[in-house]
Amino acid sequence: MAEQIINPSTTHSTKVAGQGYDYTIGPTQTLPNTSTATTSGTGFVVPTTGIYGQSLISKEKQVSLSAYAFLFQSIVSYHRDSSKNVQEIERKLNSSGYTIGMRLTEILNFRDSVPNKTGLTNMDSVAGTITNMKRRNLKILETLQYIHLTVWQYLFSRPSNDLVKSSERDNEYMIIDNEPTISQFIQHTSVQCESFTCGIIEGFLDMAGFPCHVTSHFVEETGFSNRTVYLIQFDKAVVERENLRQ
Amino acid sequence: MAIQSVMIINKSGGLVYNHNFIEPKGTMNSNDYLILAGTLHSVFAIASQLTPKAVQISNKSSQKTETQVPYIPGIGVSTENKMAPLQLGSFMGPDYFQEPFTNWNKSGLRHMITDEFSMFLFQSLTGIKFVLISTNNFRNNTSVSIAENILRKIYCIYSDYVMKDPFYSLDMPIRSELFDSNLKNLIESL
Repeated sequence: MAEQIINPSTTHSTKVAGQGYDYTIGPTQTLPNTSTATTSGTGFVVPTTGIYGQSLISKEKQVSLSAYAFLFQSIVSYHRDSSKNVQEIERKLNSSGYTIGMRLTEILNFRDSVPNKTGLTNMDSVAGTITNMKRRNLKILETLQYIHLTVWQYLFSRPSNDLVKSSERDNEYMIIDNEPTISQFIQHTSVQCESFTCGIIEGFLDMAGFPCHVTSHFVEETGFSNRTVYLIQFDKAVVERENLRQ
Repeated sequence: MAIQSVMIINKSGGLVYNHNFIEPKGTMNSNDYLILAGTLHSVFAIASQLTPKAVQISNKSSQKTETQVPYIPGIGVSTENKMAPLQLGSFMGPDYFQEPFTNWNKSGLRHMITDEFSMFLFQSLTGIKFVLISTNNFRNNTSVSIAENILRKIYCIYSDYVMKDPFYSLDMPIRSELFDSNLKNLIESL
């Protein structure tokens, strides 16, 4: 084993790495447990477990809505207890979503670049099958369409209900969801729990090169009491750039 | 079955939710409801003490059927349009549950039938009591099973729209429009 840790000589027999702190040895480097790794033919050590062992191409994964709702409930109440006012809760929810959105820009683009996903098993190397990466969307409308369809599909297993451009200001766009998944059990209060989704959109757009500010608003309609409008306000520079490109 | 009212009593005997679907004949103010809830809670506790030990033991060992409630399909779920996907909160599938379930209320008061009304109690494992008051007075086992099925569905709605709300604090009165409207939908579709 190439990655055997060399321990200082002790009277004890060597312990398995990563089994807790041993005062006779002192601090040791924590490496992935070597016994779980398998050596593939090319000489790489491929870990079979943990997050590093997973393929970047995921199969359709489902998460229990109940478990997710409880987790989200805990997140909101944690932020509520640690905040002084409503704006602070919303800002914290927004920033938790932001980090998710940031990562989505890369991974969803990567997944879209992989040709025939069905032929791949979990342990296949995905990077080798990509002939050319998908071009990133450069226009506002294309990017918003991508959020409206692909991102929503990835997050909530369905596209959002509508994508509208504001008639008053040309830097404002709206994504409309009739029944937001994450806040469907939450009673309307002064706190906008959908700030979390706003953060995801904001993070995604920021990483895609469209700096913006996203806010959510309840706009009730018959039959949909939780109907939410995500108002996306792009920075001036984005609109100017868009006009120059045309 | 005409449902007159639904009450939810927390584990310490306080009334946390009350909704009248049919206005009662007499007038009752909010204090009366609180007293009623407290009384029910006490009667429930007394009943469980009154249950003879022999019955409690035999219930535990042999008579499992006593506490098993059969599932009765088609309660509170519209069967007309099967094509439309049903929105049942976090519950997947055509109904909230589709299997017989255990009644946790093993020794307490389970139902009370009078000439005027009948009352059914369902207790969750955590001690929350769901009370259903109906204007009917059927004295057969099926109506008891139906009532317990309805009450378990109310419990399902409670677990979705009350317990998953970050702004609800435990054992406090329920003021949720979402819970109200979902409960109303369930009762109206009966």
